[in-house]
Amino acid sequence: MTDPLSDSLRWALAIGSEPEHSAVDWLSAELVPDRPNAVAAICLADPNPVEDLRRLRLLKSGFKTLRLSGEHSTHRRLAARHYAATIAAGVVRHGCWITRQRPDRLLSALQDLVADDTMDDALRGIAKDAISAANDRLLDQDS
Amino acid sequence: MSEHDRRSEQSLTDWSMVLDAGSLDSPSRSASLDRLVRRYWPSLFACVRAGGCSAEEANDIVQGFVADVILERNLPAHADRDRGRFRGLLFRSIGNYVRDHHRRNRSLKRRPEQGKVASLDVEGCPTPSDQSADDPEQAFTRHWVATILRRAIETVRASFVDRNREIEWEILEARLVLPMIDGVPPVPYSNLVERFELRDVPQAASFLVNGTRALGQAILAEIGETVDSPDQIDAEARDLLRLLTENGR
Repeated sequence: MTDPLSDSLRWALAIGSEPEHSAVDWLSAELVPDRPNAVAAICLADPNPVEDLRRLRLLKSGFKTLRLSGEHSTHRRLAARHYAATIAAGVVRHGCWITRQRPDRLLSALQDLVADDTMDDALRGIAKDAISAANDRLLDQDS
Repeated sequence: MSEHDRRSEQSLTDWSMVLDAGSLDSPSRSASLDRLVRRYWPSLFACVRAGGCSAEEANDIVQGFVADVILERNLPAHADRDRGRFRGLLFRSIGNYVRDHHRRNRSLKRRPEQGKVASLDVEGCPTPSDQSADDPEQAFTRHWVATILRRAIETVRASFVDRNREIEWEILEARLVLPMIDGVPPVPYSNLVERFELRDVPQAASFLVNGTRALGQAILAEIGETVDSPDQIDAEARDLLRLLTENGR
């Protein structure tokens, strides 16, 4: 049985221990509750392709908002990186851009993510794969 | 409480309030004592109730404790930053006071009355069934954490309203604060999107994340006011969590 008072202390402690990462992780927990953190929410595919794409679109929209409305610049920067990684997952797993942004700008954001060694290797890897896929063929784009 | 009162109430840290309350020649001692008593009263009351007293008796005991120990013996003057938290001193002191109170009562009952020896049972004391399941220390801690939480919630509400971010506050209230305080289910995201004319569910969720983080930080800041230095916040929060959760709760 959960206890609100204990829970409030637990998440206050969680915020205190990982102040930067917790914003994206908490957002992904709200949107994709069965994944432990934002990296897993992006990188672990749902077995149902339709559901997988729906989740990626949810995450993309959430990170998009957070990169603008995040409390601190570090949160906004991290949200922007996860936003790019989510779009990359759409390319790798579904062969399409799940955004209306121009492909050249998207590729630039993905290259920045690959070059950012403060980011999780799984996110950088998916960005690298997406760049390869986008260079190999023309991808569909959200209208 | 007005915004001015709230800010003035929050202008003193817990420790500076305790030290001021213990300083006999401080011009603001009376105000600090008043704040200190109001802040800790719910925890003291809950602690005495959990020890098996009726609400009326607990009220009398806490009033006696405030008069005899906090005011008369000037308990705040005995608070030592290097020897632990003020809540620890207060909990030990109320425990001793309650034991003395019961000892005095038992002694009175042992006196022969009209040639008879009075019964030694705890007549008039309620059975544990109308108490919470907490032991006195857990009851004290639960009410102390609830006090911290209420203050943190008020800080965040005022901060969001001040910065014209009422929507974020209302989402936090609907999704987290009211479920936590009143036990009501969180309002579905779809309802909030419609009510506040938001773009989509992820936008509402990202607003909630901002609010949740602000509330978490406010809780840590409140705890920070009760310890000697910022590097003790984490340990104090973990100690409170341990006290709340031990014994399988």
